[in-house]
Amino acid sequence: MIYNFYAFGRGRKLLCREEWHRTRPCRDVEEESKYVSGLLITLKSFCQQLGPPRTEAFLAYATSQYKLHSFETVSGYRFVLTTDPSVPDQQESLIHIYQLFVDHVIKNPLYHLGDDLHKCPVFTTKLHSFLLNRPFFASLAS
Amino acid sequence: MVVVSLFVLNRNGSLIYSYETQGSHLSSNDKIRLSSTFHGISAIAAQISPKRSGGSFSSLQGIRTLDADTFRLQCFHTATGVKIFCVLLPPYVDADLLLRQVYAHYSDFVLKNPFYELDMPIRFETFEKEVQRSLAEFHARLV
Repeated sequence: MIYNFYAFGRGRKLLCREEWHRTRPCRDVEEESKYVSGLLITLKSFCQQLGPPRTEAFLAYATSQYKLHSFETVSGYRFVLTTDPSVPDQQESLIHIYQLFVDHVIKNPLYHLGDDLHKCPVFTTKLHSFLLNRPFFASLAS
Repeated sequence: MVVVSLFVLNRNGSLIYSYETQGSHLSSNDKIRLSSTFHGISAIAAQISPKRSGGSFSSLQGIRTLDADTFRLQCFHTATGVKIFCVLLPPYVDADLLLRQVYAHYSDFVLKNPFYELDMPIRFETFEKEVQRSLAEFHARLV
């Protein structure tokens, strides 16, 4: 089950947010995305300090309710997916989404850095079809 | 060694016990700071849940596992809000049993000790010994 997708630009700016199958509606999108982006920054520095030396990145966390997968690019973009807790590691899916982002957003000459990603309909269509085709999109993974 | 360190947090998020199996690179101040950071992260993670909570205790909805590229953190939440978590190195194995055993030792050797004041740091030899024994057993089961 996929609940949310977020893409954050540099400086925590929310570029794209999608939601499916949420059972607890989001009260305030702006507030929630601030929580998520702030949480990711804290988690990264937390992991770097607590883990063995040369820990670079935070990958995922799971609670009893959901699991959050995160992928940060070298340039500071963050791609986040929330799913049900039984879904396995999703780094490859997020890297694939990053590839779509590079091909259809960054290489788009009409796109200005920091704009909402919905200005690139090709990217959003590809993102939707990619996520909709994940085996665990609408069902609880076993 | 698979389990590098083990921490026990009280319900307010302050560190009451920590144990390292190898020479740690963290100072005791760092440990206190990082463990209360974890308490905060865990509370926010529960708050931004996309799924409606099924009426379970709010203390049970925090982070259970956290993966980074070089380690995994596994946490056990008790109904009273105590968090027991450990840092694992690859190859990853499930440490839930170990954490539950530590919880059992906490109830047996700390909470039942008449000299223990609630939410205060744990400095009991018996507890320490039992934790070390559980850790040794945990590592022995792996080979």
